[in-house]
Amino acid sequence: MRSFIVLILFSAGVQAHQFTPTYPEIRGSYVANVYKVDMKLFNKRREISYYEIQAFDKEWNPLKIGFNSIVKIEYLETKNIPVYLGKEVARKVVYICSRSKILKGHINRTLVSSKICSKIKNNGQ
Amino acid sequence: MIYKNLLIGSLALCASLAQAEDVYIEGTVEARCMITTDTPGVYGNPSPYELSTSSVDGGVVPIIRYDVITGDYYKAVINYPDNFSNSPTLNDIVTWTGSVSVDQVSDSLMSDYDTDKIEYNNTTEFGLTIAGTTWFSIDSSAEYGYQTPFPAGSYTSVVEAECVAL
Repeated sequence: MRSFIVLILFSAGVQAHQFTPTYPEIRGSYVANVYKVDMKLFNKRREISYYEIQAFDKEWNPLKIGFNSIVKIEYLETKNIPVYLGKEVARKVVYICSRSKILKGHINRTLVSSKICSKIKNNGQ
Repeated sequence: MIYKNLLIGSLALCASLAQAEDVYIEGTVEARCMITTDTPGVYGNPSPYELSTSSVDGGVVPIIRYDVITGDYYKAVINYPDNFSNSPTLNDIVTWTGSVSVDQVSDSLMSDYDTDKIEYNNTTEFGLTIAGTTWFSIDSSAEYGYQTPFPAGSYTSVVEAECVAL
């Protein structure tokens, strides 16, 4: 009985996730009433290929961001991530986060969901 | 004498031809946070109705490492599991317990993190007030029903490690 029940929380070796800058700024984009936050994502998690980009207000309510919020990124790749925001969202947004996505079926892989959030200061007041 | 003068002259010529080239390596230091899975964690099965990461129960306590370049810019938010992401069909209640604590630090001042931590539900928050590396250990255990044996099969759960800018 015991030999059949083994729960794996983590399985792989050292792996990391980084999302910068810590305090990004909202800039205008080439489209009217659409704003942009330039982020950079570094993936050192071998078993993770997808990250979700999320935006939240100061109360941690989720906000809608433009384009595809799922980013595909290879192991050891650094990717510039432009996060597009509508006018109303740009006014409210405080946190921009990246969260690792675990593929269904990877039951024997590392199951640490890592999430790093940057903060837009003096916004969402 | 002539040879000596020729030698000195040729050395002077070589010296004038030699040029130094400075190669610059640029870099910037900015506040940032990196989350790393340091030690794999495994549940032991000390009794038919219990799964535990404790070493005395045959498990391995997972370790997550946080690196921050600058202090006071981030907080760590770690959630120990409160459900299985994958398991056989379970018809009884699973009772989850767990804790998160500082395992190792790169700066002795970080030892205050454990006393200053904030705990609620299955979440523990640590203020990362000092630049450097902190390793956090996550204890987790699950008990099935009232001493009901877990069905045989594979079980997985997820630890959520977050780093939030302040």
